[in-house]
Amino acid sequence: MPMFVTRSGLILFVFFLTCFAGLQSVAAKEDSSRELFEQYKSLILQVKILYTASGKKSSIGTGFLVKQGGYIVTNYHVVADLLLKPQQYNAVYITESGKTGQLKVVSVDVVHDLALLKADLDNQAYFEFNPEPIQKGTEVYSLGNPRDLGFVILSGNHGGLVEPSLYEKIHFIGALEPGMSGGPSFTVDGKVVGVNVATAGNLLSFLVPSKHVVKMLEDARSLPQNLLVLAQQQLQANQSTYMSDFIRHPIKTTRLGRYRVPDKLSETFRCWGGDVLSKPKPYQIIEQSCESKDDIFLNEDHSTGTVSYKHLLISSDKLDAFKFYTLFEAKFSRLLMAVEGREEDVTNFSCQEKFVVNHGLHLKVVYCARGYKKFFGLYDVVLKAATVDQKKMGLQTALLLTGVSFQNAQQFAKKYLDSITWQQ
Amino acid sequence: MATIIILEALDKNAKVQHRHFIQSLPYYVGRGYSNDLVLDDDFISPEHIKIDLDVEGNLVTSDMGSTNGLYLFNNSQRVSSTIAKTGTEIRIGHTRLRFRKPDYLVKEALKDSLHDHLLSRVMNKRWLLVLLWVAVLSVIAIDQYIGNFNQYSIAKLLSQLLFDYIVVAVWVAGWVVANRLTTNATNFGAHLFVAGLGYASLVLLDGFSHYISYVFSMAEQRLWLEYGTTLLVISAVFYGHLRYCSLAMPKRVVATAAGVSLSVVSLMWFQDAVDDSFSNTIDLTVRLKPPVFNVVVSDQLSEFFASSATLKEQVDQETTRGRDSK
Repeated sequence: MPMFVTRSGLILFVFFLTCFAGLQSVAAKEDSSRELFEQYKSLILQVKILYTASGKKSSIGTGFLVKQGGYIVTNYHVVADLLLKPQQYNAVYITESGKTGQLKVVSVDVVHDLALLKADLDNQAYFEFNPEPIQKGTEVYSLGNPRDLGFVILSGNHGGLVEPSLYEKIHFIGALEPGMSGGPSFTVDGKVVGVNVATAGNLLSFLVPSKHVVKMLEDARSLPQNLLVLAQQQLQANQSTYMSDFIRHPIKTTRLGRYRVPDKLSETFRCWGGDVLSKPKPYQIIEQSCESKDDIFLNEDHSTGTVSYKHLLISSDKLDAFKFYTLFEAKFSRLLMAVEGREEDVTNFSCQEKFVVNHGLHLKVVYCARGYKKFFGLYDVVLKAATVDQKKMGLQTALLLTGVSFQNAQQFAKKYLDSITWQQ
Repeated sequence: MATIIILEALDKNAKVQHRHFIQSLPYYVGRGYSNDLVLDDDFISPEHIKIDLDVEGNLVTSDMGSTNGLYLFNNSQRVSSTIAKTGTEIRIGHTRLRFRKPDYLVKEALKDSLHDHLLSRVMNKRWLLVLLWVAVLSVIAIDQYIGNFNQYSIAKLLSQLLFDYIVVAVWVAGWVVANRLTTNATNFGAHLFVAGLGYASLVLLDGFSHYISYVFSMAEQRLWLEYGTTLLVISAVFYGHLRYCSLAMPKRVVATAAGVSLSVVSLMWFQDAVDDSFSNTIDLTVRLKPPVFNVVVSDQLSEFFASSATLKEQVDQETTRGRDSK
């Protein structure tokens, strides 16, 4: 018994020591955080989007001063409503000291989720940027107004670039909260490395690299009058960059049954799949899916700039050909049925349907497209194809390209379909 | 008296209610029992009109001083007398009378198509009826068999079809009641048969249209296939039912059946034409059928994508329309 007491006492002692050591380091961190907060709190403000009709709050975010004359950077997604429906919304700012005023959107970078705003502030001080890559693990501080509860500072670590990805982001190891979107994340010397943009759960958050902010500030001198036109040009340029890349390079294929089908297009994709072996069912399905890791926020119900595809290998040795094709037809109609978007954003889909023969494969091919109403010249395109030359086996594939030019979609869809072959 | 005159009392639809042969003149018509023709019409006087020949040999009808007078039919001018020719119609009180002569030509007899009708002949042959019912049930069974790729059981099949059966039963009951009201006969067997045949045709034609849609890549024209099927089946079914319910001429039955089906299809078309609601789904049911049905020449890959220029035009049109309406 005494033995036991001694041992548990020892354990307790060690435990307490650890605690105190922990407390000590936390205290040191808190000191520097407090200092930094005091130093920079006057350079941040809360951005509130209000319904013009009722004056009620629609959404909130954080912004920070980047230039003399009241220029403020925040996220595009914070002010998206204001840009898309200027009659319905207006934006105001509230500083840490309680000063408020109207905000105007001056520029956007819709691809990197950034917006430049102007307030009637006569500021001398503003944040500086560090657009160079910094070492992983460097201490980074983030300012913002989480959930409308008041300004806070929180510290985390620079997790490096999230790679590879279509839309470059910095991994921030810290707990960003909704409402902190658009706030600055900076090193201990006050240089901004990124803009808070998204959170993906506990301690996993993302920043837009500050080089994009620097670029937006530079570009802001020569802008088209209409910001929607600017956003449309950015989306066009962006899709053209990555689509021409996909069109130029050969499509790597993988085996699916006796077919070869498109594999991971590049490292910016994630793929998964598996057998759907439903035991009591007289058929079997093998599935493979891939999608690009990131998307571009346009509004709450519509994001764009994605590439995704899915293959189904369906076979049966129990069903006869008629029954099999009933199953095959049912699966095909459920393959990629809906694509997000609202009536004010996109048109309905229009489709064409034909038999196509390629590499000796007989396919039923459906090609559908819908147009973007606010960003003319951009389309969501769906390609669906099913092989129809086997009695009790078939391959189905569906490709979805969002926010692309018609020509790029057509070229890539053709290449995609052409990469599907049958192995003897 | 040289010729026999026939006096006909008509109802409001000009159908003859009773017919009288005037054998001798003068001929008296009224409510009183001393008349040659006694009419029980409270608006007719006891001694109302006299029919006789005048000096020139014309047949003349004259008012005998009645309370409500004598009128030519469809004429509000009261007359004291009128010359009656064959076809002349007069009104006394609330009664309509017409003069005819025996040489009046009547139309040829109508062909009795009801009892000579193909359906009736079929209905009279029990074995044929049974055979057709077997065919109807087979069509439904085959459709269900092909349409089910999971485990297939009779109980499940029957329960799936229960709703259909109820609809058919209510439909048949409706026609039987209508038949009873119009012709005094129920013709239950006939209506059941027509409904069954209609149901099977609907199933058959629907399935058939799927194959047409597949073979000719007509998923976009799905609605037109649907309209065609509906038009065909509804007109046939209505024709079948109406033949038993009415004694009307076949032409009128055909017209009614066509009219009903056309209005149903127009209504469907109208509903689809008005519905331009937004949907973010691909609203295209592409049919897939076994390789035996690959009979149409396929496109090459480049041909297929070359034809997508039309698709772009279509989408761009809708995009601009959407923006203009804003």
